[in-house]
Amino acid sequence: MKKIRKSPLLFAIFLFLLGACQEFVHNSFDTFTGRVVDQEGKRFPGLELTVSQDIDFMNGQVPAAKSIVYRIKTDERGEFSFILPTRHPDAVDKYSYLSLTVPYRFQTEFNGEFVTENFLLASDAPRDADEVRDLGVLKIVRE
Amino acid sequence: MIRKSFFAFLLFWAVLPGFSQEVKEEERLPKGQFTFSPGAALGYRAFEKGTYLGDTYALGLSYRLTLDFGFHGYPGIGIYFDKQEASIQNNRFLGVFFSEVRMPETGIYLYHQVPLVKNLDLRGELGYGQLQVIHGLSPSRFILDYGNYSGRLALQYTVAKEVKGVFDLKLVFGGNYSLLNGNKIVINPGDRSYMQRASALQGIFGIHLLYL
Repeated sequence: MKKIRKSPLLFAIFLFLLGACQEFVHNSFDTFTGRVVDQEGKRFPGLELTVSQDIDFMNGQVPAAKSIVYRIKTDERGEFSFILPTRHPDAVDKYSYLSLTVPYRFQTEFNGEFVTENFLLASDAPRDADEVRDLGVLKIVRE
Repeated sequence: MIRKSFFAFLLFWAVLPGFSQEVKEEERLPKGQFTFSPGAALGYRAFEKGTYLGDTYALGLSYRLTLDFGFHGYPGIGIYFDKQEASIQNNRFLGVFFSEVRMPETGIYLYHQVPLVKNLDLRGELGYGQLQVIHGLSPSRFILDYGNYSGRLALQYTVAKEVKGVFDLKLVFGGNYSLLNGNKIVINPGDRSYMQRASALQGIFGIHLLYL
């Protein structure tokens, strides 16, 4: 009798864990958009960007894209977009990164100081109701 | 053009019962007798190019299992299960996460059939099904759901009557036209129509067993 009472709870836990393990949200795509400008704020057409699931920090001195998903280029207005199946919030591999190749780096502001990196975490961008994530204006510097 | 053909098909299906009174055939079954008829068929489906489904997947052969219920001489109802395998072509939606796709579909249809000449029947169907496009394997599955409104015309040829005194064996050859709607799919407004809408043509060849 005790076992029977327990089994619906076990079944519910099993379903919960099954749901938590899902890597993708069905019937949903994330669209990432953004615009790239140079140090003078001018549009940057034809810049190659790499979309990846991971970043390899052990690859020499420069972090490198790992598990590459797309290689894309900015259009004549310096804009880019790419689409991915929506990752489940509890998925282990839920991150998407955007990387640049040498000699370009992203310039961002952190605690009032400018820092440069050759990658950024794209999946951190807020999403709207249509699952569009606008990365905004990305400033590129040449080193 | 294709949509016009679909509506012409609907019109034809609506007047089909009138046809049946024109063609006389030796009737072995009394009108109104309950019948059921399982069937199996091989098919090939092609999605409309210029849509997500048409541009993204290279389709293989499909198989379909059906079960008809009805009263002889009247329109009947049936259920079906269809499955098709596909591979993924270059696209800008799925990344590199998946290599295999399965497309199971379950649904229900109304059918009616009329004799044309001896041993040859014309059959019309109107159906609705749920098509799932399943990428990858659990827990890395990614599913897209489409509603599938379909119409079908087929010829049924009776190969053998009263096999073992139990059933008639019929060969079926026909075509299917579908309108697919994936309005559950969330995507940016610019790609929504491309992703959510498609039409499909499907050719089928199979057998039906009519239990007496």
